[in-house]
Amino acid sequence: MTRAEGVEARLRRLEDIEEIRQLFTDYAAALDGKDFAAYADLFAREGEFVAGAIRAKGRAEIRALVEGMLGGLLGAELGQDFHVIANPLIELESADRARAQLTWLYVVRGPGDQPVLAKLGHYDDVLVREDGRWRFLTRSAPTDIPAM
Amino acid sequence: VGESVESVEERLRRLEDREEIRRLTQEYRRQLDARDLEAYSQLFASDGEWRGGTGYGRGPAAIRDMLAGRLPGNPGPPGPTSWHLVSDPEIELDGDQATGTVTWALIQRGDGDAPVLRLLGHYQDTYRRENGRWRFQRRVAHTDIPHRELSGS
Repeated sequence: MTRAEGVEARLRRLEDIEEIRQLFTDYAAALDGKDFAAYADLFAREGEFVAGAIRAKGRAEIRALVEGMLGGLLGAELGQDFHVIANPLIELESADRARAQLTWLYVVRGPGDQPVLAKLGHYDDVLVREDGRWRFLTRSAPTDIPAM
Repeated sequence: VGESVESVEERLRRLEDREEIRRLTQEYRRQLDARDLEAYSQLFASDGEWRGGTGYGRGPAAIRDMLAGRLPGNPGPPGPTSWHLVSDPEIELDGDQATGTVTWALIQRGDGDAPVLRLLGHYQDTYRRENGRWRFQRRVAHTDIPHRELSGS
């Protein structure tokens, strides 16, 4: 490998990690902003979302799934619920594929306009570069607390 | 031209170093919460130190043994299920050494099966590149809320 190629590969690696971190914040912003078209677009064409028994594959199905959560698993109105993401650990597996683990907190507006930690869980992700950007091939979002 | 290649190399290295240190701080909380104290201890330099409410250790084996003896387990549900959240570190690089500060929070499964914020604190870190890998030269785990004074220095 020439020096220029080495520099190019190292730079690409850093850019990939940065772009994947950005994908995670875009995800939370689209979800909390209730922009479900933008949310679904963060998944690959064959992308899959899994949370316990809930499962959806492909952008249309994923979009329909989260739209159906409004007023149930998600707040019906803007500004009532927030996903806080932390602890990103990203593993690049090849030029176009990566895995990641993160922790998420689900915070809602509680009585007296106070923040309430409603849930904690984690994400297990498989990411792929598709059409020039990183997207979720699988996002699994198990809830760890509450456990029952 | 020679000057610019050198500076590209240095700039790239700085970014890689920051990324590796970030990763080190995340591996730390992952191994800690998984209670994989062997993997956890390997994140410390050969003479690396850890100090916190649980005690003090120097060197990976001593740190591992001290924590194995004193740290409560982390059982999953219906146990307390502890999760550390750690912030992005504030990092100052200085060649093969670096210093950092990281905010941490401890969340547990509380009464009513809801997440409860138990503790909030910060880590004061010194990192060192040893055998080509960044490791903890020293990590001091301060608990700020509720406030607990660390014994010794």
